[in-house]
Amino acid sequence: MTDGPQFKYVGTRPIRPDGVDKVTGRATFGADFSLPGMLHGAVLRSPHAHARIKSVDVSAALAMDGVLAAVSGADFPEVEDTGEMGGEGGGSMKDLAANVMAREKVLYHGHAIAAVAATSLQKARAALDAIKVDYEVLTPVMNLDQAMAEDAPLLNENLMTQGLPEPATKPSNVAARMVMGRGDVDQGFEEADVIVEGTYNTPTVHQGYIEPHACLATVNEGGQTTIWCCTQGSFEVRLCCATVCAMGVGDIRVIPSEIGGGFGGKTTIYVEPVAIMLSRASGRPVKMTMTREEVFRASGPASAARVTAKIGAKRDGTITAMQASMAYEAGAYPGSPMVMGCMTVFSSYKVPNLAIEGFDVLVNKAKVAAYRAPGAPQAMYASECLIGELAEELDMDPIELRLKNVAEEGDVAPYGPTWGPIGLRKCLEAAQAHPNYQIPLEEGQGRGLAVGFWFNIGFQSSAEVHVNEDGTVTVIEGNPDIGGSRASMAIMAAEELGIPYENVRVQIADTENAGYTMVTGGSRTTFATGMAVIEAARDVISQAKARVAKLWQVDADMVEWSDGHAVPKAGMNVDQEPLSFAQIVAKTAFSGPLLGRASLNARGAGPGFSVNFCDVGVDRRTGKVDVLRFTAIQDAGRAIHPSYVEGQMQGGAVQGLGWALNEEYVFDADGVQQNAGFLDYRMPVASDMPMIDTQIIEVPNPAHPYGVRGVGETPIVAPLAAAANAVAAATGVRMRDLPLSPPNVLAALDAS
Amino acid sequence: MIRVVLPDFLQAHTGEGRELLVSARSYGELIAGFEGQWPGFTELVAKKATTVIDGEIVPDPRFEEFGERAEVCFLPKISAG
Repeated sequence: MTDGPQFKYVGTRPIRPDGVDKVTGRATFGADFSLPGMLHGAVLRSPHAHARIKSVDVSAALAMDGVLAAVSGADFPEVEDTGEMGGEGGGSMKDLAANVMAREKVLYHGHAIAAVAATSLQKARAALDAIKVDYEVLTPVMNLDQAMAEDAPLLNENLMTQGLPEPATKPSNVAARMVMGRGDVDQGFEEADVIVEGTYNTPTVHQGYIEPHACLATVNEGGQTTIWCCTQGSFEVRLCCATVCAMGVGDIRVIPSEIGGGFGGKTTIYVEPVAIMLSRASGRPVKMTMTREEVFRASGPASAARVTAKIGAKRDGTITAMQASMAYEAGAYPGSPMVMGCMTVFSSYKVPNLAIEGFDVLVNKAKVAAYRAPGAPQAMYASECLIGELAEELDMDPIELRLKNVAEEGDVAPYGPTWGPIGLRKCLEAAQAHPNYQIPLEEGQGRGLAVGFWFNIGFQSSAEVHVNEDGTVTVIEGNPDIGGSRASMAIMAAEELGIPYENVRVQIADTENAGYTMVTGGSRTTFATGMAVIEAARDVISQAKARVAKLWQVDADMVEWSDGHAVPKAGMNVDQEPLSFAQIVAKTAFSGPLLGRASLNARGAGPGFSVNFCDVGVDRRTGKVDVLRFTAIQDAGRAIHPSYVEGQMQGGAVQGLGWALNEEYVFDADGVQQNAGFLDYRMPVASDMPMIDTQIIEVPNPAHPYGVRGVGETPIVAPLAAAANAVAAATGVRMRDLPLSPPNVLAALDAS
Repeated sequence: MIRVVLPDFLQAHTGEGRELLVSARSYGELIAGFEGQWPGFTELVAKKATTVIDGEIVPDPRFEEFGERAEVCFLPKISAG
């Protein structure tokens, strides 16, 4: 379903350029790099979820055979509170440094407390046992209730809640409060004929990327440092490492590997500064690879959250008021995505009266990290379930209810701006007309539907387009390819240049060979870096035309670019044959190599909406939920490579279903995670899932040359509520706490 | 007139409500006016806000010119994955 013009390459489905290496095992990932003389690093992690560090002694470890370096928090420089990390938000540099290596306190089980580098991994791990740490063990706070209690043990004795009506007078585990609203919510509820409300809990979950964090760092005698690592943002790694290790940004080169999944979790750093400090101390390259258990315990999961929401509506379905209070776990340091939760929770609807309140709360768990559309799945799980409950209460079709209140162009979003062209209505209408929505259900089955929303962002990107001797083109850019972006960049370059897709190669360059480019995240890469590629291609064309004009001895405006060739402008009396890139390069060596550049700060990212619906069957004897069908519909603005848009929609659906149906961190009373491995942390696998059916809606974003919105994050938002609404429909029992795992479903069915 | 939307932390700083209607021809003029009225406004925006002008997130709005009617929303910073 497409609005807007058709293109030659945009919208086609060519083979991805990195595909062969990835399916044959040639692609190199974070742990694949080695150097001569390389040491292996290992990290000692806290056995306590909350403790004061009285002393750390690494001397015995350092004396062991094969151990060449050992560091603890005391060896790391003090980092001032210089602001947010990496442009992505989510925490301060000072906290990032303390998360990388604990100083006065350990704040979660698995918190790094010391590290060694040795000639083998076995020797490094053995040396960890020789490190002596004296702890004063403290009571951990493991959930929102414990953390927000009046007499709660404090993670940070100096933390004062920001955003209270009056300045805080005593420290708290609540780092921040935010409020948002408009109209008169009390009046809105008074006008309502029906009011529904409920409290919805979502657990701590992990992104579940297959590739663990890994890096290789080498520091030379002059302090110049090279890091090979798997990351979503090599420039963010450079800045964060420079800050944590008190180095100049220009002294660090970050070479990104291929990436085996990130989903937001690789927008920050964990072992990279540790490898730098160990390399600096030993004079040798140091490789560090987190184990799966370390990834679970010590990298950033998504926030657990509790959202209490209330919606009032007229009998005809017109919503009169919406209210939500939401608390998000931040983990050990401030910076949960509570703010995004507040901004997304009711964004799909036009409603005159709103009141939203959010809290960012510290608990003794690993510091949370971004996970696709951070904050939105938890918030919209609550609001979309409640809309489902409202539809039941009103005896209305859930799509009709949503269409009656749907946000459209010209409406004011709850968080402030007036919507431009958005595709939510079209997504809802597509769901209504979809054949899957008409399939009759059997006894014991249920259908659930939900809407998803994410902002999408732009910001800084760079690109170069180099024309080779044979007329092929190399695109240089700085965004690690996590979802097929090489293919998208190549398509956009081919479209602009008018040359075959196969003639374009895309190179992901390191921090010294690409211009600054912000992280691959925020669904920004195809939008923002794509714009840079388009501008760089246009720069090449402009230069090529100027060169040809010189050859033809005509004014530059007498040369046009058509189908990959410089041609005389129509109507001009110029008797010249069209020239291809190969011919232009060969004939205009007088001007040097032909290359175009662009750097920009992309504005106008287009908001993304989705509608998902799913059919489930529930085994009442075991509580097992089977997803029978799942349909994902999303406004992509313009799908540059539809297969990879569909891939994002399918991947987000599966991750969201995992969150809904099985995934959760399980902790014991001491704050130790009991399921830190894929055997016990139950992520969906292919055999758990039906084919995820997709339908791309295209309401072009006017701020992008081809209409791109960004598609990577929206797909994870709606599946949680879609699944929960389906389970409620199948069982007749509304379960508000995720996951809807067999024991939880069985308990709810028994209780009903 | 320019419609300006303030998030809670800027409402607290200014003592104003969620929405303001002001006259300004450019972002520079708008922000200079606010800074004069509420010292520290610019720094707070730089530190904690994302600026949206006429529905578009504008990463660096300092040199933006306004039409006769524009909408400037200061949002809490957006982080993403």
